Amino acid sequence: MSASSHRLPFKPDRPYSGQLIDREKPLKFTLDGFEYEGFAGDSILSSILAEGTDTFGLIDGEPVALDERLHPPVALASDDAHPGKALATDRTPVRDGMELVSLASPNPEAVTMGARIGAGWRKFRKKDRPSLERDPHSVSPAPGPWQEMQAAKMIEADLVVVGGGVAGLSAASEGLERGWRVCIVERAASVGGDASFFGGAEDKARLQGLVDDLHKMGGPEGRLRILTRTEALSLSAGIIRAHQIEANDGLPTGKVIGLKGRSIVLAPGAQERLPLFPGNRLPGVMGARAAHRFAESYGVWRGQTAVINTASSAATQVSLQAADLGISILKLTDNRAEPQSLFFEYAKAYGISLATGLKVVGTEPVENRQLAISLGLTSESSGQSVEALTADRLLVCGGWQPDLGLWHMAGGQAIWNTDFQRLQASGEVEGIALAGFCAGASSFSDCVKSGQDAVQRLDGGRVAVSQKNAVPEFESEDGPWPVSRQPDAGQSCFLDAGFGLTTWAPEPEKTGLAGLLNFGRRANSPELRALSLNEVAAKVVLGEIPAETAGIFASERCVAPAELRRHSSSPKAHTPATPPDILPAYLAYRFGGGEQIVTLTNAEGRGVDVGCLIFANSSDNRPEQSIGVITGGASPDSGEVTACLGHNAIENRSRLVARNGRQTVELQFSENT
Amino acid sequence: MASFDFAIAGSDPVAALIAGRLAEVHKKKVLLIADPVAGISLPRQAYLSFPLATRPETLSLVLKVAPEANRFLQKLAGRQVLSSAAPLVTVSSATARDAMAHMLHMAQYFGLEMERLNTNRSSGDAQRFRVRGVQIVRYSPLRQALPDWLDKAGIQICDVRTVSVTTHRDGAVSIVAGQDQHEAENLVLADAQALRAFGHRGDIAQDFSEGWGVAVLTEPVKTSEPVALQPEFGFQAWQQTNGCLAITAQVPATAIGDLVEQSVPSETPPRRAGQSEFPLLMPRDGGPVVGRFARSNVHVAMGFGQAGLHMGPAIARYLADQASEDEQTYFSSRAPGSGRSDGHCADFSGAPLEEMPA
Repeated sequence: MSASSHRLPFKPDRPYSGQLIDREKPLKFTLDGFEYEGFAGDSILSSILAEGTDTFGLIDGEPVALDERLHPPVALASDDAHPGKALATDRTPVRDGMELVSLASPNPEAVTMGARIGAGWRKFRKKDRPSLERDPHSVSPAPGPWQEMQAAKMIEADLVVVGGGVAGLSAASEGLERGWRVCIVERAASVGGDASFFGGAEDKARLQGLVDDLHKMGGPEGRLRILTRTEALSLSAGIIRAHQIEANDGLPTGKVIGLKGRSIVLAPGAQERLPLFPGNRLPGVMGARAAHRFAESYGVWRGQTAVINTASSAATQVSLQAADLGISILKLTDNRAEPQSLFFEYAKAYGISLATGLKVVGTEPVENRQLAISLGLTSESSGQSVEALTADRLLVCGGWQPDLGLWHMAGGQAIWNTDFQRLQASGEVEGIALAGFCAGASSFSDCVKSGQDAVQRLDGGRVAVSQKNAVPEFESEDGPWPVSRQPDAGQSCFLDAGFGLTTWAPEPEKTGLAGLLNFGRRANSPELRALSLNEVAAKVVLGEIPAETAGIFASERCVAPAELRRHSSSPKAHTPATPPDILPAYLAYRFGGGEQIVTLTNAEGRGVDVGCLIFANSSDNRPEQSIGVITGGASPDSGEVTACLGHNAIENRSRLVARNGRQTVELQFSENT
Repeated sequence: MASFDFAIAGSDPVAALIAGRLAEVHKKKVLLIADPVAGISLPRQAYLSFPLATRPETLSLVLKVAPEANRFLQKLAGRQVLSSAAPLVTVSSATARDAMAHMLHMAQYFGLEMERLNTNRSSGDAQRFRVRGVQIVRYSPLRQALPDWLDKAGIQICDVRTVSVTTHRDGAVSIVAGQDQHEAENLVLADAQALRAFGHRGDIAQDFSEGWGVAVLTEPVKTSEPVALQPEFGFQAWQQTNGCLAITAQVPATAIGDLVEQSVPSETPPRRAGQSEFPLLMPRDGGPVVGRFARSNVHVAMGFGQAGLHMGPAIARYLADQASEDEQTYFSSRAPGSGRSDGHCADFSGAPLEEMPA
């Protein structure tokens, strides 16, 4: 491996040794012409992070971290960077010799710098490439072009389960027990979800038992289908659109598929909240769960020293696993004043330096790609620093937000839970049930039951819906969302770790020329762009959105910011044309009732347009006085026209005067009318 | 227990305007039953001083009441509540082209500036019309001004989500809102949510058909067509002062892009910033339904479409029995249960002309 490798050492049976990679099978590939090394089983993202590229690009001159939720879509160079062949960096496995190009635009500031320094700059960067130098704003639609692609095929099942975590697997198992055909959609390369992060060692064996049972029930009869590396994009009218990476022995390919389920269980789990402090998306800052996933699956870990700050007990165990592999945890801090957690007790036993009642109040990059981390008292809102540390990385956890994206797309509602500072699902959607964290379950056992309950409800059973987010025994509840202070000018504090890129900043100037011209900055306003769930929740916590409107705001504004483009199924193709001899709906009762389409003779041969009103007297001109209207055949030389006349006009054989502007034209009933 | 002359149930600006006018102008005691957070929702209707309508009596009445409504709206929310617009109307089907031709000839009589635009290669089968001299109502100043105005008019507001309604044999209406009990002489159902919640199923089925609407908000976009309409699809797109497009239509959400591309030219396709789908109750004949349901003091006032805010003062007069002769004639012919059926589609506004895609 290269010298810049950010891999943890391999130790058998240690959780952070990289379960998915085969260290005996190294490989090489290129991205944008730069060479990377990795192992069989790596994803593109894990490989480039392992090589030390941890920056997506710059926003307002400040580097923004490459992360599991912010990474550019890529395509094979052999596909000519065609957006329709786009691959997801986090879900696509690497192949030896693969040549990839990024589908995000180069960062304008990097382009300027590159042009200035020339080829020498590129050569220099190749030795150490900390940044992809791409514009984070340029990924449109986020997270990739597949957001708007048509489904290549439709998969039908009795039960479609979104999320292959404990709750999803349990729901699938319940469905199989009923004899249903079940399809599981899972984003990651394997099922299991976050059981290893939220649970203890004993949960690992329980999870394996759940997976084994599932395969025994569904495997032999072919009733179980598990689609890994597949991200559900939307849910509407009972159909899920998903983007699937197929990665057999050849080069990986991506395609959009449709999944139609008689019943649907949504168990997508939780999104990790980003604590709000200046510099919260600098390279080196990462969510604790994301860090856990990269370490567990790929053995990827940045640097040798780390500080961890959390508002949730589960994140504490990251410090134990990392310390076990020789990482120096400089400090494990908890936002809560007196947290009770088994993990915390283990950390003490490991000799990790612990502190409670502390939050991160700011982070700045320092030399050697380290971070200067300022800690302050959780109880203080001033953001004053009480302790400063320097480390290779900072892992943070601000608690959890149920991932309600698909629920909202299906028409589900949400309300603001003041106690937990999160949006939680409310209401019901026919044929769809929530499970796992979205349904209020936290522990392994609760998630299993939640998956079972979801299927029972969909099968007509009466099961009470719980949204209390039960906390496992011996563990303190998650603390409030850690909020430091509003950033100063030149500092960035993001509200979420994804593509939203909304910052906590003073409202932009709303008047004057500067305000009008500063289009990009204005687009940061919540009124002007789509938001993520975490961004909405953060704005509620910051007092920018009233809590009572948070549910509506989330259901309407948490949408994929896709472009409104033409699709192949134009609505006009569905619009039936009214045959010329049939009365169109808008003319029914227009002339007093009994309207009919009749043929009239235009003996004068003067032009009358379609739409010309017909009157009984040439002196009449008010539209209310009209007795009919020309509907067709209105050419000057046709001699005949069709018209809609009311019953009275036909019955009485009224005089017919068509009015075309100031001109009047006498018409007669045809002989066969 | 408080007593009211009118309880107005509805969460859109038209309901609020009717309630306010009944209280302020006609000195009625009014309870407004509304969703207090509806104001945060995406706009679901464009309000124009000249609606698309094929029925001459509709155009005639709107043109008579619009100047008064414009003056009132500006007094209420300032001059910025109205802005001039020249909507681009695009129609595709032969029927819709004929309907617009019909409207064009009526517009000439009423002195409205409406013209048929030359077709070009990009328009395909579509026919385009330009309507000039139209005033469009801006949501933002109106929404900011309404709460104070309603408060000054002495209107009590209760949350529709907590309300239950009982109608008595003598016609009186009891309203329970949380811990509070109210009585109202008349209950007016002024939007689909209220009609579903408090109307009788049979009454609703007689005059309304069910459907779905979609509302979309886009990120700011530069376009030469800030107001665009496609009446076949209930499509309305109008640019907000912040550059965002508000769009509503009665098509599946996936079809919105087609309609936008057809009628809102921009360098790059606008990007979605928000979206919601909502159930609709559409008058079966496409025109308004106004008046009392049989054997009760429950009224309905719905289906005014683009003309809703401009008709508001006249609707309030009609409910207060102070309508002009023209208003009386027009509204009384729109009474619920007066023999409407699916075939009697005489007005072009408020409902699609033809069957929508599933």
